[in-house]
Amino acid sequence: MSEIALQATGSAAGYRRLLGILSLTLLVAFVLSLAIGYGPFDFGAALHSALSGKDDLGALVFIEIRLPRAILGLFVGFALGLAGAVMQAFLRNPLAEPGIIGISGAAAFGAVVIFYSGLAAVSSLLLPIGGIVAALAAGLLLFAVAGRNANTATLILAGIAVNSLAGALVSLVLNLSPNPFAATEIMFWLMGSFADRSLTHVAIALPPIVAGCIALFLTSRALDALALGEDTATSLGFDLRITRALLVGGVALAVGGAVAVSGTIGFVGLVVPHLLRPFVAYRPSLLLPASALGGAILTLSADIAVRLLPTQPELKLGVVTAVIGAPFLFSLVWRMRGDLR
Amino acid sequence: MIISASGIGVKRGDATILQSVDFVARPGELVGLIGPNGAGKSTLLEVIAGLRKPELGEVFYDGKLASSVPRRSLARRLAYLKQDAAVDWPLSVEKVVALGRLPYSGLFAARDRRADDKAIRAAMETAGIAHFAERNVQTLSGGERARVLLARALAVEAETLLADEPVDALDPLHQLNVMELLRSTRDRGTGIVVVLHDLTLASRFCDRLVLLDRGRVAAEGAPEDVLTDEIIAQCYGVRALTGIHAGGRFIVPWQKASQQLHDLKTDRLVPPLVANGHGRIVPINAAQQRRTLDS
Repeated sequence: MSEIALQATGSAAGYRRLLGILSLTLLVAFVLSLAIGYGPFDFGAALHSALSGKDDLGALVFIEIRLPRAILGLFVGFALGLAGAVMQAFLRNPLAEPGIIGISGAAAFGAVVIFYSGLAAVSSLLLPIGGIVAALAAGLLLFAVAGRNANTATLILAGIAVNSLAGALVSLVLNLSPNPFAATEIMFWLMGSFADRSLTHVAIALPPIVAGCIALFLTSRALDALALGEDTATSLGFDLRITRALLVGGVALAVGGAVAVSGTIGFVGLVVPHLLRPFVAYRPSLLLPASALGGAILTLSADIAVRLLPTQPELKLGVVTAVIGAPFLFSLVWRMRGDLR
Repeated sequence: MIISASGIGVKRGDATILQSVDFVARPGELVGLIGPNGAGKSTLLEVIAGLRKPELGEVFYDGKLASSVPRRSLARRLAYLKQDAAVDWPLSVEKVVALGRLPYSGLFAARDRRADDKAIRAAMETAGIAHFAERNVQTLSGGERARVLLARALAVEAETLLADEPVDALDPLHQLNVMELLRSTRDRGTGIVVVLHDLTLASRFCDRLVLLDRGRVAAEGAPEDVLTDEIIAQCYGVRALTGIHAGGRFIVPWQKASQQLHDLKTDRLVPPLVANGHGRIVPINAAQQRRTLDS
């Protein structure tokens, strides 16, 4: 019921309440993600010993296994939800999403190259850098191919081109892989997961994700103006070259950083903005924080779900989001099919 | 704000869109920008709005070179209404109008909520859309949406309003409403440049007309000096029935300029027409013409 009221008013109070609800849900999901896992584990005791600096098994599990997984889930989901909302608002197209238009795929390729070439062993910092550089290249390529005033069809086609290029390059790397084990390892990594990540992963992923998210948030007012088209937005005082640079750079940093440690986790940026848009009265600027929080909630929840599912081996998170997200994409295309030009 | 443009030249590929165009817009003046399709009206409006950099010539705002005026400060002084613009999200009417206040807020600037609300309400009242402020803009009729977008431009409260065919999608009543609205906005001191296709509206409501033809200024001045039979025939390629009613001129394009104006029944040439004051239009003769013009 409260959701219906929110949808109807879209007022400042309603928006604050929405963000409050989302933040609380996120907190719950984060704590659950810390508490749920394999094997017997006393969450309270582990938290206590971790905080008091003890070195027992509980603290070790907490700090080395649970905490990185939960933190990455939160930040990666936050970045994906935000990136999706920004791209959809900028391109005024509900199908825009880093995964669909190939940016995640390119970032994965960048990270795979670093893996495969052995550069990752030189410095783990190179991993996100590879992801970011490739994501940036994909973003620039996409804009170059699709052009400024890309309509839905052009954009999706350009995205398919970028995506297939990234996929082909990843296949090339797999093909050239010297032994099947390395190839399998890369394959599994590509599926996307937060399992077995350490605080080192957190340390290398967080700076680009945070920087990217800041850049993306800076576009919010211009995104509102863009609801009226590029000329009107410019006449309202926005330099869209800056907005575009913030968008491409922000998405590359946030998604590139995220993909470099987690592999590709698709559809979060597609599903979350779409679901939350009615609750912010369709205003792009208001959607950004909501979608970021929602992305974090969805990603953490899905990551909890894969640990609760009785499958062996554990399902990869990216597989789960794709299995849920792809039908969602079908339904979106179904509804938009009349509008595609 | 005085906008002046001199020697404007714009090319698109090989095609010349504008060539050596000079243009001035002053405060408190309603200027009509007219001309046949492809004459370069919208392009000129984009150039003087600072949205498109001309290959040749310069635009000045109050004597300052356009490139030296920051986009953000210009945004408060100059409102631009694009031709049949769409709204991409199902926003409420009020939220669309509120976008006109974006130039007054910043990332780090607190916004004056009261001034914003006042401007938004006033713009919605003026455009006659306040009674559907909560409706989804994407469900409106073409005429309603046109008025919403006009209100959005009015909400900027700029010194200058540039409007590209604001009456294009409207029925006759709403065309008159919008033109009267523009005139009353002009009366409050706003300088307005409006692109129009309807020659009667241009003649009746504008203080000055600039007629573009194939990228050049073909005529400029008071409506009666610009919209002469010869110029209409030359630029638009049509002959029009023209006349005077209640002090205003009407111009009704009738047939191609290659043909003479014939009475279709008798096949005789039709002399200029005038409204006889009872809503009927009759042929003008010398005596009538004198009487009408005197009264």
